[in-house]
Amino acid sequence: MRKFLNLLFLCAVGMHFTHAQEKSLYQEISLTDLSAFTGLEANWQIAGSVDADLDTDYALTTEPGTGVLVNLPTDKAKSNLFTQMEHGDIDLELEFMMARHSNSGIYLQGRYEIQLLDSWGKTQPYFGDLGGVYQRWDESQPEGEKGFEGKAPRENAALAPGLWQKMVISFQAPRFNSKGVKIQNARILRLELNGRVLHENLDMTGPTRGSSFPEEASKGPLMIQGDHGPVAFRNIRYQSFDPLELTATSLSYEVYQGKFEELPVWDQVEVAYEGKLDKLSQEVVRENEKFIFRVKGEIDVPHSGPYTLYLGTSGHGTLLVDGKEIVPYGLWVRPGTIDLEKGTHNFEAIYHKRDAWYPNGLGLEIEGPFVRRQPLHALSSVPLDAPTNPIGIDLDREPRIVRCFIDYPEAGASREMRIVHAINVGFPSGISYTYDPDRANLALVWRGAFLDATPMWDNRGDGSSRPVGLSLPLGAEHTLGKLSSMEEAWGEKIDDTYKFVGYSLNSAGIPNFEYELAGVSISDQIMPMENSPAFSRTLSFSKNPAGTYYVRLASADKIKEISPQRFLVDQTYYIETSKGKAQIRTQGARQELLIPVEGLDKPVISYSIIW
Amino acid sequence: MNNLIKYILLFCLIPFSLSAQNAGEVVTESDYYPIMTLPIPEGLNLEGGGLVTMPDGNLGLAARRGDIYIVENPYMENGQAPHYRKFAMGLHEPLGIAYKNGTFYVAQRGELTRLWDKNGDGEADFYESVHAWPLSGHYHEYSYGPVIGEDGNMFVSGNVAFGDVEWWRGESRVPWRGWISRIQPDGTFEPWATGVRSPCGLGIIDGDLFYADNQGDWIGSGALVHIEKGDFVGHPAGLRWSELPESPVKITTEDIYSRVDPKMAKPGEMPIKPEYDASERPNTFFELEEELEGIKTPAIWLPHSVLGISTSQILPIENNPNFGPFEGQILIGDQGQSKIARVSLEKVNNVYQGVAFGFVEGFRSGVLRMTWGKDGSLFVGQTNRGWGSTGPEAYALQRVVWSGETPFEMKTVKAMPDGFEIEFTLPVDKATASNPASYQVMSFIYKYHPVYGSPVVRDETCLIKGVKVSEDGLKARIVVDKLRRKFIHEIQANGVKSTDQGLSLLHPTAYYTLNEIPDGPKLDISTLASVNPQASVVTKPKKQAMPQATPTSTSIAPSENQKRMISMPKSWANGPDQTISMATEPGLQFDVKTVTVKAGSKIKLTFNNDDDMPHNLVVVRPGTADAVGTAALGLGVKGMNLGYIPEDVNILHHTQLLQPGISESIYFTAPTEPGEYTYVCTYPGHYLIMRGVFKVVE
Repeated sequence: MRKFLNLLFLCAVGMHFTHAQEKSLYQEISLTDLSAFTGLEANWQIAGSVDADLDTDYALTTEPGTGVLVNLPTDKAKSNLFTQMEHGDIDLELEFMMARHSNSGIYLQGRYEIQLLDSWGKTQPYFGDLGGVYQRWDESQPEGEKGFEGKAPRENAALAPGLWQKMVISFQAPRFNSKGVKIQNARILRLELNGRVLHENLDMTGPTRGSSFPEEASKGPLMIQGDHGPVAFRNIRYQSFDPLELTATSLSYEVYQGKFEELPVWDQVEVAYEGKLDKLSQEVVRENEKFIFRVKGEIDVPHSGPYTLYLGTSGHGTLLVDGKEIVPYGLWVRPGTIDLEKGTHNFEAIYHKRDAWYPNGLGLEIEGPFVRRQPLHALSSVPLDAPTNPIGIDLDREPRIVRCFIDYPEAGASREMRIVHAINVGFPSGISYTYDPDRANLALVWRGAFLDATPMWDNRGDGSSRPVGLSLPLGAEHTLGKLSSMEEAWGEKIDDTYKFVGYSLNSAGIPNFEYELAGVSISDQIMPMENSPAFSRTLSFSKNPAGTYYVRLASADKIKEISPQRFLVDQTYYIETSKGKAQIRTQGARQELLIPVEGLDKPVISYSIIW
Repeated sequence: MNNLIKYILLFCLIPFSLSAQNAGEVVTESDYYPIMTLPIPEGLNLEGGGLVTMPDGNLGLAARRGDIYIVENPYMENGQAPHYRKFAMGLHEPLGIAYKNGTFYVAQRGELTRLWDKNGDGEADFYESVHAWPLSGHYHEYSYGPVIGEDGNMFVSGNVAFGDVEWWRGESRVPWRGWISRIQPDGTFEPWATGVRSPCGLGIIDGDLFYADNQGDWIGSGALVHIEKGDFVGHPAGLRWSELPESPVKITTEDIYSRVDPKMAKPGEMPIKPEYDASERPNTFFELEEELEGIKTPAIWLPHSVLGISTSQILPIENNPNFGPFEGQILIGDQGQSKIARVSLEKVNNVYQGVAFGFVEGFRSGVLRMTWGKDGSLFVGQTNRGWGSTGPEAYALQRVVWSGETPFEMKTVKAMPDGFEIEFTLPVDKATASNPASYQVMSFIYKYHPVYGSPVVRDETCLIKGVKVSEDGLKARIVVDKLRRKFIHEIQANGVKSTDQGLSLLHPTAYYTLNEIPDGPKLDISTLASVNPQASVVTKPKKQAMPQATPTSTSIAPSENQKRMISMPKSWANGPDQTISMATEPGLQFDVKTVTVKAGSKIKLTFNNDDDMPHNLVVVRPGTADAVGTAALGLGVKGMNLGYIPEDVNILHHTQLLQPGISESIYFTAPTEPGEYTYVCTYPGHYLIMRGVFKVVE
């Protein structure tokens, strides 16, 4: 029990990215024109939208408009692009789209390359694949030994050509002493691609191959490689940080003993003991329950603007800055935001512990304009018990099937829906899916490892596991429904005649889901495609059910018909149909892709999901 | 080779231990029912969620991690280790398995699944969803079963969930959680009975359905309960659905809440976890039976912490001559205490009732599932993940074999119009058995309330008015004063010896749940050996007319108790010389293993019970931890109320029995005599492993 809580606390207090960051502090690089960039040749353009072709090398087509930065290199024009902006420490987010087999790169400070490549489908990525940190290069070495270092991504998190992909980079610039001698390497604090962490705390000893500058420096522009192939970008946002560490100073504390239901009026209670601190920590508290620890101090903030403070208390607590409550009295970790002028401010953290069944812990973190989120507390002030050993379920030589609760991420909301009868199937080739037998629904697909069963198998567990890999939610609703007209909305519930029968395994161990609907037996098989890391799904009906039944393949904001058999869903994944005629219909703000169950004799509907 | 040695050792063990018995040494359970361990391949996480014997004698084992194994050669014939064949994979935390017509039936969390091997390759290839039931997705929504009745219908059961804010309150979030349900072979689902909280044990006894629950809110102690369609057996969560048309249960939530305060928070108030209130009248569940139609009280209570803390499976012995003298009786497993109890049922006035005894303990992990081998030996599937158990292993598969020798036991106890008839397994020594002083009887019950568990309440000592021993020396009829219907009667027969070797009873205490007192002739007391009234005054414990103190406080007022001072003595002007903080680690461990203090120094010791079961911390004289632990165990059913602190000079200092999440600081002066003292938890089953060294130095 205690370990679990400590882990919760560590995750929440000790690590970044667990809370949505203050987006208002991000600056957007304008893509209404090219004025944010230098070094431009005609290969760099602004467009309204782009499409890449899944089957054609280097094919990228544009539509007029703004908001998308496109590189269409030719023999004559293939320059690299530099931002006007120069950066040191930075958090950078951007979306990009690769043309098939295309190649580019993002050079942090114009020096350290994060590789962009169409690595879709590759099983063992190396440093030259998407998300890899490219090699360094030493011309003085003999042939074959010039390249050195370079770091492969932890996994291949590449999406198919033509889909928007997202990269989030936290970068720390190299540090130099007053004589200009480097004292700390440049570092990737964290790099995420499509939600997967590919690098953490990775030192880069110097510029990688293709750097625009031979020497390292505190600042430099972002550079995007333009000579290797078509690529597009949008939503480029960043936040720059000063290379400094804030500290809490002038610290003093008071401890009040006894059981308090709420915070007391301070002058009506007696201080049990008090003193000064040279670091922000609750470790001076001698009790492990029934106390209030009240610590006051000062913070010197370097810039005016909105600051977010994260108070973490194992137990209750509240935070005041300049006498104003910014984190209300409550439990565990929570943020509060306040506008602060440059200069020194008072703060007061109150930590109220009522129970003994978790260890003492107090943490305080700050982020703000040019201030990267960082702890003000001493590391030892938060519990540092060993986290639980993770329990993974790996893929095997045959398809692996595991039933458990799966939390389906609901689009646009933090709320999650729990699929309680989920059947998860992982294939040796490294792709997996979640099937919801209550709705005959293919709910989630992912590429990577299979499941993290720690939430289910550690201690009592909560019955759930988590997909491990690059996952794509396909919708939590039922797949089959009856529509009396194309105007009728898709029902909230699956037909009452629906009954899940079970699943059989074929000789290769691949499950075939069987169910009944309107008196018709339906077999539903989802299996990997032969030549791409994608799934095909085939629904076979024993006969045509009475009434107009449809299979709903997708529900999305925008579904684009690329060809009668190929559809692009929110530029997030493709659907290809092989049996059945798909049609797009618009329902309010949403679009749906439907195939009617047609034909009198044993209708079959077949389509694939490509992402 | 290793297995061969084990095999040889096993079969050598039995004659050796019997010769020890012949030499007049102390006999133990293992002299009669030795426990063997089956080897499990490294890395195979075989947490026993379900266990069944197939017609060929192999076992079907449902591991909690979801795979189904067929254990081939579990008997280790020819000295060969068992072979584990994976039959099916990836089920959702299955906690029960049955075998019928060449297929397995398994209850997953959300589905009764039938596993077919249609192509005959030894692996399941059709996972049939016989019936899927709703779940909310709460962790505690485990499901158990099936057990298959004589008519082929199957029964499954489902745990309640708990509140998000009121995490202590069992609740039924979706229909038929907290219910036992019947599923026909064609998948037809019928809710059958409710009031269950954690119904891990299901069994068919003589064609009737029984279930066993775990102590918790509304459930004072574990028990064996006869289930008929439409019964309500205690926990009100499932009543949320009793007004649905499918419900055979007619009692409503309001029926219960209007009679027993559920202690819900008032609107706008923060909910507070209800605790035992000694000032309240101790309501009992059986009192509701008089007011409401459809209440079913337990057939046999299993007193908490004495005969287990987390009841698991029900397994009838039936006609099994290879398992000793207890044919027709029932075994009931216990996860938390890694042991098995034995019960014997009878029907009086057409109502089930009966007696419970200790049987075998000392398993490696928590006893969850049991099945009979083809040779009449008992296989025991074990796991303790999430709850801990006296046996420290995470999982185990073991086998209990009867040695062939008859232990000296109370074979059974039957209710009589004026007392009880005890039947023994071996002829008794008539001098001891006919002496009323050889027996002690007290009766008690548990409270029915929304609080977790219950202390023993409304207890009374019953006078033994006379004893009559049968001619053959196999039965003793005891005439007992003040029998109380529906109460549990603790019968101790410590003084009775066997004729042969003068053995004491292996388990001298019986717990008889007296639902009905039979009619019939009473014995003429004047003809019986009767108790000396003066002696009885001496042995009779002080009668407590008032309800008991809470289990979380000892009966001695703390301020007067030199062994448990919970406030700092005023004389300690400068505070303690040393402050010690102690908590727990999983697996029955204190998180600090050694404490070193100066002789005679002032100590403040804080014990924070951050575990999920109760513990105390008792500082004892060097080398006495076992004796103190045994004495605490000997407190029997009263131990809970005493916090498992026996009267013992070897106890120097102690905390009270701390419920999960509770902390206590005690103040004491360290012994002046240097040495290695011990601190130990004396909660039953814990003292053997949960201890540390309290080192006193100059």
